[in-house]
Amino acid sequence: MADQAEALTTIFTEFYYWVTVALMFLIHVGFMMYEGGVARRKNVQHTILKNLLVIPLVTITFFLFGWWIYFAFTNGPGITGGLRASDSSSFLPWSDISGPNMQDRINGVFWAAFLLFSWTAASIISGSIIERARIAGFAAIAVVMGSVAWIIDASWGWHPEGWMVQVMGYHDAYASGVIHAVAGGGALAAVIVMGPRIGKFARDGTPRVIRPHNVWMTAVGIFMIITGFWGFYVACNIPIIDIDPSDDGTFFSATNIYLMPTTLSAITFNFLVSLAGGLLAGALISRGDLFWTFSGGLAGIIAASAGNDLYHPLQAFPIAMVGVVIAYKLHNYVERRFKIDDVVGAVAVHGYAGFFGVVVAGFMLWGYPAAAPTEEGLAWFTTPEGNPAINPLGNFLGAIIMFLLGFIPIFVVAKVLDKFGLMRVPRAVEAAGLDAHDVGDNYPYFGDRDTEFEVVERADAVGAFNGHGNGRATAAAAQSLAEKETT
Amino acid sequence: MLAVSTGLDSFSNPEDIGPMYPFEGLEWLFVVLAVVLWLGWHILQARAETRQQDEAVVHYEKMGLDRAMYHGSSALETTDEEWAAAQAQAKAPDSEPGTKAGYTPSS
Repeated sequence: MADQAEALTTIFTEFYYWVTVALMFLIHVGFMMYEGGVARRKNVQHTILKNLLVIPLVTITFFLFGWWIYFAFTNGPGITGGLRASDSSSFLPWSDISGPNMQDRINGVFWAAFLLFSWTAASIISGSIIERARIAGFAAIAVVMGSVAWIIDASWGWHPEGWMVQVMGYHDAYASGVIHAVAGGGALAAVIVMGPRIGKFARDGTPRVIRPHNVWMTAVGIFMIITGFWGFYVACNIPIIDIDPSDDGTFFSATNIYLMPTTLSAITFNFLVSLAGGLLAGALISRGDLFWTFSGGLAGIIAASAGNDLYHPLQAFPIAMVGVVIAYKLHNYVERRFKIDDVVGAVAVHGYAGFFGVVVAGFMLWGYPAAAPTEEGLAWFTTPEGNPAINPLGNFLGAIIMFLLGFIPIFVVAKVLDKFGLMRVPRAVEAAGLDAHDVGDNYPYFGDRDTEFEVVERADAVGAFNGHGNGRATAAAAQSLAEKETT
Repeated sequence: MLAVSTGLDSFSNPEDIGPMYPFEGLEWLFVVLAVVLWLGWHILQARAETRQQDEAVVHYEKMGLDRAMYHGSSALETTDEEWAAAQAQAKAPDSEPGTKAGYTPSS
């Protein structure tokens, strides 16, 4: 680059995305700590390993085909046009900019930012199925979610030329639907196929509480996810670009992912205030449960994310609160009604809060330009200047599409894997603990006590206790639990 | 001395440099190799995991799932005598419900 201003802008943009990638790693440190903390001590190492393997698997597959899908599938294909083969050829793995190239400085860092989103989508499913999932099955699901399902919906609803944006006026600036609802839908499908952990539900269907093995680790983990979310938000923006659409004017600004104006200040306001709303609502609705207070903070951000490029902070605040209340209530209802064992509440925090966030943005930002039009007459609703307009119908249908785009492929793939016995570990392995046979106890010096739940789980897994084992302890604990369950 | 080059041999004209990696033109081969390694990993992982689980199930059937669950991984190192002693101690009148009292796995 011979021009210094051009060089500064380009290398600033390169550096900007690189920083977001480094920040977003914290999300995955957080996911790992969170899942590892929630798992019981007999499952900790398996849980961490399963989560960690998202990173290499989604990385290589996102390089091989995920990144290309984002640019190739904007028309469906088959909805508003065909496969955009020529427009997307630069993003194929054999393209000469898919590697070190002095003429391109953006592809690698932009790919990496999207890759970190992909890890997030796959990791969301990981947490919901811990303590009984096989790594082999989850590995396949992680690839389907991280490098296929979510990136198709990103191509449809996040790319400025995506058919959902151009036709429906879909708006989802920080991925309430594009990542969270789709991954929440996938998580729901996975937990339905796998079924609950042994002993999770009493005979009358009442869910039993299975305590995290390490509350402290769980709390820091989710705080780490929230910290990494800064990188996530910033990576959804374009840092500097001329946004004046006229030929004779110039106005440099940041934009959202749709190349529509916003500022870093705007999203900083709204990130923090929606976090505040989520934490307050989470603490209140869960009556001070630490797990749900932290999860409320995350769900609050997710509920406001679809419109956090444009909301006033005091609009983001109540939206976050309402989103958290809905997610919490729905989680408990679905768990009890349908016996869904979502260990970390991922379907609620990501799926329900994300769905709600997309729907609300359609009302709140009704009439705002969604993106620059690619073709006249495509959009259901337009602004006076002819841009596709954000509207409640487009976002409501969009939220449904997002959820189903996660649910359907994961349900189908999980069913097939389940047929081959690849989804769930054998019952005896689950009962003994996923670490027990091959890697051993996580805390060999602190294993002198059964929890009430372990006793019940053992009774469920082994069947009649046959008079051996810690029979006295079992009888006492089972009686104590039975008394609690009847009250 | 024989000059060998796998790609670039000069950085003198940076404005003319495009791809910088060695063996440019063989990207298709890199992709084929990556696909084989990726799919191969899934297959090998599934096989290894199945074998490990099968071994575990056999082991638990042999020793009794109850015993494996009671002692976790340390059950694998437990002799029948130790297991009997642990049962007796847990059933002792002064043992607290839920406590795996007094059990010390063999080293």
